[in-house]
Amino acid sequence: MTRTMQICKAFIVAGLLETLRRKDLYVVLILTVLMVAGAWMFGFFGVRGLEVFIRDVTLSAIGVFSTILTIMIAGRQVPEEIARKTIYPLMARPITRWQILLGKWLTASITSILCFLVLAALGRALLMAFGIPVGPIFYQYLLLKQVGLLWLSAMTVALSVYMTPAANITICLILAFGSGIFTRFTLLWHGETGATGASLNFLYGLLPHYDFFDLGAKVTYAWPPIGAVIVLSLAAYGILGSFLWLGVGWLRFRKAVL
Amino acid sequence: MVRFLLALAALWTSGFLVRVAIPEQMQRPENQAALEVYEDKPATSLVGEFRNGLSSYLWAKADEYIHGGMAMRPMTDREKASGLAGASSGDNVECAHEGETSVIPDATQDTRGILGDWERAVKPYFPVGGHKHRPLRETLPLYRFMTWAEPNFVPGYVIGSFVIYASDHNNVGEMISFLREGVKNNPTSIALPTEYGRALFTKAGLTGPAEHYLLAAVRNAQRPARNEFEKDSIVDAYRWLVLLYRKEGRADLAFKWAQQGIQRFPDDPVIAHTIEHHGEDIPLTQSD
Repeated sequence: MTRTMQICKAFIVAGLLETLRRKDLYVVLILTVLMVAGAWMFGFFGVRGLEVFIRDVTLSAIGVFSTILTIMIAGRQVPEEIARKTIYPLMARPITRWQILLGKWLTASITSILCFLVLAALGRALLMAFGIPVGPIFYQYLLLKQVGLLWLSAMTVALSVYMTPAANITICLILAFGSGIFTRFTLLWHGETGATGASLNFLYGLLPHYDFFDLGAKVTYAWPPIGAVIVLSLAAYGILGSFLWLGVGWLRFRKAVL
Repeated sequence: MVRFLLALAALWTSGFLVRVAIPEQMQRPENQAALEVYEDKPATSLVGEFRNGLSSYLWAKADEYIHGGMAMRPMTDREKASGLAGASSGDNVECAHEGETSVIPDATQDTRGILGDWERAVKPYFPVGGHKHRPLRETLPLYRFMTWAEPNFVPGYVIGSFVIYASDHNNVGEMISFLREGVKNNPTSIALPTEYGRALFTKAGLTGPAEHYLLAAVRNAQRPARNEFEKDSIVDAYRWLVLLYRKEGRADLAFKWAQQGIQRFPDDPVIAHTIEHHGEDIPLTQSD
């Protein structure tokens, strides 16, 4: 266990440095500032009642950019090791493939969560500067989003061993941003009973529910905090889902010819 | 301060440059020449589609804003047949909810178990029967943006002006100026001069200008209406014109326009009432 943690730590440090070197985070930070400040500037053109609108833009920017960053970061973890052939020295060491996959997932997760927290801190600071309050639900939003990023990183890392990087990133973007939309399709067949109803519920359960980890809309409209049981059960669902995705990835990676 | 002024200048300059750089793409399809440009230049059509799409998106978003982020949808035929109670307003906000329900199903209708409970907890959701609305003023920026994006989006101006007034009854001047901008951008509209005339008549007491715009609305109504929204405004144009003349004691003019109106709307009570009581001094009632 200690050895696994040491391996993961080494991966995480390397991953963080790589992310800083690539400057992806700086780009999204600048874009977020531009979007939020742009929304705020409408106030100078005589538009009133902008509080909800600015919160909406801020939370949307944080949600969209953190999701894109996570997929980009997680999607390159394994394929780049293979493309650069740096995976061979790794495999020559006493490191199992499971440890590599776990390390890559943790690297992607921690890097994405750090990026998300920086984005959220910036968004919060901008809102404070504009005198726009956010309720205590914001802290639940931070917590659940981090669990969601763990889940999203796991899915992206797992699918990266099945697909080419471009295909993986495209599919993951569709699954992440579409999760709130295409689960609606199953809901449209409401009122079904018997085998059809059970099949639809099964299908609904199988579909990714990344949108469940996003309390952004509730923060925007200043809803009260949600129950602790919901937060804990969703956290358990997210972590369990992450390991399920890692298991899916490992099924392929353990015997893949590199 | 200097930086802010520089940013402001940059915004204005970029807006000016966009208009100079792509004048054809910024044209509105309100006359034959412009329509021909739309047919010949695909880019113009694309920009038009974008503007239209953006304003429609903001229109839908305004509905979400007053429901605290909760999305609504039309009820399916199966839901209607099952007698499922739809959404209804529980406060004094005038919001059309006929045949609507929430996108996220109610717990009693949901077979998803814990997944449904999670969704109801993490997304904005409340039972739709007799629900309350958030302050209308929160939607103001959306109406401003949708009419900036698409100055031909008549419902944006009409409902936006209502929101401006409903959010604060002291905003009469702002409502009138918003409608004036809409009338200027949509000279062939029926709904906008009607609303503008009505606002001038009922809120500002300016009967002269109100008469001018209500007559313009009736004149515009001689041409086929562009859509259902415009079509629904024709009866209002006649009604307010008749009411205006009645208020001013110009019974003959009220009767003249009521006679024209009754030919198009034989069941309208306000117009019919004016004809029935022609020659009498008819006071305006609460129902008028």
